[in-house]
Amino acid sequence: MEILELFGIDWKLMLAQLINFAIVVLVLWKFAIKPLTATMEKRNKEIEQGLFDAEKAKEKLEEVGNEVKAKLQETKQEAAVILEKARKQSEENKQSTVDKTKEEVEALIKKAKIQIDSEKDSMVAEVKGEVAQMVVTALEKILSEGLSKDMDKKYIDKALKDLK
Amino acid sequence: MSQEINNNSDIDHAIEAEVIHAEDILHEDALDAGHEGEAHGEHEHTLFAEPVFNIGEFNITNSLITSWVAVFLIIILSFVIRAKNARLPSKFQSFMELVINGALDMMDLVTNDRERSKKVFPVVFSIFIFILINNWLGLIPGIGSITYDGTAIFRGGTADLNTTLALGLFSVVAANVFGVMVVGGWNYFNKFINIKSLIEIPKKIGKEPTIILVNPINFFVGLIEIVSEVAKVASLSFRLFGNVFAGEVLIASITALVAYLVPLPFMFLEIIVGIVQALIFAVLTLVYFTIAATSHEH
Repeated sequence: MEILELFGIDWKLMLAQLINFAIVVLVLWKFAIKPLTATMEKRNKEIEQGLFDAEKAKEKLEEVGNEVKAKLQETKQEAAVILEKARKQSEENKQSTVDKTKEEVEALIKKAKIQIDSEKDSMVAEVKGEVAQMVVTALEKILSEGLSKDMDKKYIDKALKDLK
Repeated sequence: MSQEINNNSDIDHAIEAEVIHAEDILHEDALDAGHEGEAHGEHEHTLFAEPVFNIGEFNITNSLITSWVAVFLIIILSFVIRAKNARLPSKFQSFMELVINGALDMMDLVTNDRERSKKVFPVVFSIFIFILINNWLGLIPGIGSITYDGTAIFRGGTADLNTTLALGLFSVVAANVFGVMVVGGWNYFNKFINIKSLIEIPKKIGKEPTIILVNPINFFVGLIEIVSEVAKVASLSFRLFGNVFAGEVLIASITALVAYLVPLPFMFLEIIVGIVQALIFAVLTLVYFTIAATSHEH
């Protein structure tokens, strides 16, 4: 074949070039294309996952926010109820304390009054007795003679009764 | 499917133009060589790659050495890509990812199927890179003037028909293997030797009498397909070889005429031709793969 000679065709050279090309395919595929496409695909997946997660997180955040709001509202209401209750109770307490104190004070006053009365009575009686005695002795001294003891006594008693 | 055919015919037009361009340049070169070839001595361009030295029976040609350099560069590139491969891409990695994504998108235009694109991507992309680096290595200024024993050590790897023929053969054979894998052995066999259509004739002749005319034609079309497979190899390898070799000769000739500034636009032209030829080879390979993978439907 003249044409093959003209172009210097040599099956050994062709084989060598084929091996060269095979090496290129192998190396490019194994060390460049495969890892690179794998990285790209992985990244694409990650981005997809990330977007999905972000969406989910946003939803969750909203949900949590609503929950917090609801809880806050609830708490506020509860606090108001508790406050109202406390106020009522304290008022009640105050009232009852005041009442009790009043009663006690009244009781004390009453007791004191009674005591004062009884003391006054006894004092009066004592004073009466003593005065009578003094009057008797004084009268006895003044009227040592003349009047009998019994008459004197009767007279004085009567006079004292009238005095009352 | 119609889009594919359109793409295909577009590419074919482009290719025809390129081939004509290449032939013109080859012609000029032949004249040049006649007139001035002798005057430039060692820079004379031969159609074949010259052996630099030999190991036993095996001639190590300058094109083979350049191909080894190309392989070496690609291996380094691959290892750099692997070493820099990270979840958060560097600028370099971003660029590489851009290239890969762009290539895949472009392949989708031909295959219309991302999964299939991904399947054939390593082969097609390797063809592109290997041819591109080989094309460009031959263009490096002054690379032809590094000589050993009177012969240049470096010559573009694709400026040797051995390289392009090997690649063309690989491309067509791999496409056929891929076709068998996707379509199945029997179906694929019937693309070329269409026994199915012959068997169909007695079955369907009652319904459609025209089948007695149509199916034998289909059978012969199948036979022609065998020729077209051989033609694919020839067209792929000669186109690439012709363009790259012509480019190198063109630049050498221009440089011999005017050494300064004038070769510059031609240099740019050849850089672009280097990309375009690598792209054409890769895209055609992809087209062959895709055609082989589509089952023959009526």
